[in-house]
Parts: sequence; structure tokens; C-alpha cells
Amino acid sequence: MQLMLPENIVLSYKGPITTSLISGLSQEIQTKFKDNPRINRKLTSIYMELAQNIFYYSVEIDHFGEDDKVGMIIVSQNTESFYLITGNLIETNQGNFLKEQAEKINSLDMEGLRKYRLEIVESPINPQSKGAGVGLIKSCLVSENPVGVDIQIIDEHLSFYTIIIKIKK
Amino acid sequence: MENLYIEGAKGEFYTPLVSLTVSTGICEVSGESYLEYTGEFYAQITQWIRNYAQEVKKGIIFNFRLSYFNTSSFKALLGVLKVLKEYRNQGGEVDINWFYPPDDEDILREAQDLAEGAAVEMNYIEQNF
Repeated sequence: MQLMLPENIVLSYKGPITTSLISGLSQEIQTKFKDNPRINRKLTSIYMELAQNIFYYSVEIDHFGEDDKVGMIIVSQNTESFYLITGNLIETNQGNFLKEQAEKINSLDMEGLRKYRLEIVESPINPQSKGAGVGLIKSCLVSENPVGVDIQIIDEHLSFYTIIIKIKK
Repeated sequence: MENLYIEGAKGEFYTPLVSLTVSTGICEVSGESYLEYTGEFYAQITQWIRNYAQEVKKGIIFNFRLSYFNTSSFKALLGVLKVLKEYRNQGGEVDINWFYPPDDEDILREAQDLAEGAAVEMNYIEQNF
């Protein structure tokens, strides 16, 4: 997938993703979009899921201080849509799984996605999981658009995982 | 048996207000739900309902009034609804009201999915809060 560069950046962050940063940026989004309740609600709810995904799954660690996970969060817009873009390092051997997960999500219609979410939530497999995949399903449902996923292999160990969610204005 | 009351708070995490009252059977979970220890938090609620079903055995009116909940909370709320369903199956009188903000179809859809997952009927009420 070709990454489209955002035309107009509303918010951009790269660095340690901590719990206080997650709630802080959420406040920032809500302040910026306070005059547009629909976009505000959708962006905030998708942002929360994807920011938590970075918090749980990024393999890039900032060793300054608290060993925080590192990731990137961008909100941008063009004339038609808002975009929420997140990026973080993953292990290269996770790449295929994440690609297949996105393909599966994009292959389902709304009804199918809703059923699939319940299936995953109720699945006893991998009780350690904080709900990986479910956040992406929610993002797809709330944005009413396919999820864009891009994986750039850096080397045999590390890849950069980007998620792009589009919300029509 | 005692009431369960947890003050809602919004800081680094978002704690919903929880108010479960023994004398009336009126229960409320409201606000926003994004917690550090989601499972443990909601386990207090399911445990309270189970105790109420065993000790008090009266009706329950459970009102959900959430404007936001994350995916972990979705899973935990499903657990709460399943316990309410269990009590209803045992003969308990259980009314579940799900309030949602006007025009918020996303949260209504989540509520409907929770009901389907728990195989429980509930009332959906559009309301400003």
C-alpha cells in the first residue's frame, strides 16, 4: 500500500507512549474538535484504541527513565476526510499475522465485523492478549471505512507497522 | 450485604461511577470506562450481583449510562451482562436499561453487540447526559 502523506497535520507526536500521554493527547483531540461532536467522538474513540495498541505492543523501548514504549500518532486532514495514523516497531515475524488480520477485517461487512468482534472477545485462546485485533475492528466499525495497514521491513528482526484510519468529514 | 459505590473520575485513566444499592436494587454504571485493571474493577460489580442474587433475591434495575468505554471494558461489560442474565434465568427480576447519547450510533451498536453476546434483552434509551 502506498502511504499517502497527510495534507494538513492537525496533531503529530512521536516518542514515549505513557498512560498520561494517552489521556493528555485525548484531551488535546477533544479540545481541537469540540465544535464537531461526531468527528470528536469517532476520532477520540479510535485514537484511544490505537494508542493503547502502541502502549501494549510496540517493541521499541525508550530506555531513558521508565522503559516506555515508543510510537507515533498523527491526526491529519484533507478536504474530504480526517485521518488517524499510528506507527510503531514490531517484530518482523509478526508482520504476516498483522497483514492477514487487516485483510480479514477488510473482507467483512459491518454485520460480519460485529460478529467477528464477539467471537474474538469470547475466544479463550491467548488470555494474555489485551484484545489485539479488537481495537482494529472497532476502528473499522467506528470509521465506517477499511483499515489501512502498511508494514515496512527494516531487517530480519524489526519492521515498522503503520495503521491509517479514514473518517469522512 | 453492603452497597457498592465508586466515585467516577477522569485522570490518567477514566473510572466510571458505580452505584449499586441493596435496599432498592437500583444499579448504575455511568461516565467513561478506560481503566488500568479493568477485569478487577468489573469483578467487584459481578461479585456484588451474585451476592445480591443469593442474599437479597429481589429485583434489579440496572442502568448503564456510558459515553465511552474501551475494548477491555467491552469485554468486562459483557461479563456483567452475563451475570445479570444468569440471575434472570434463576428467576430474578432484572431490568436492564442502556442509555446512550443522542446520535451516538457507534455506542448504540456496541450496546446491541453486548446484548447479543450475552444473549440478554435490554431497553435502549436515547438521552442527554
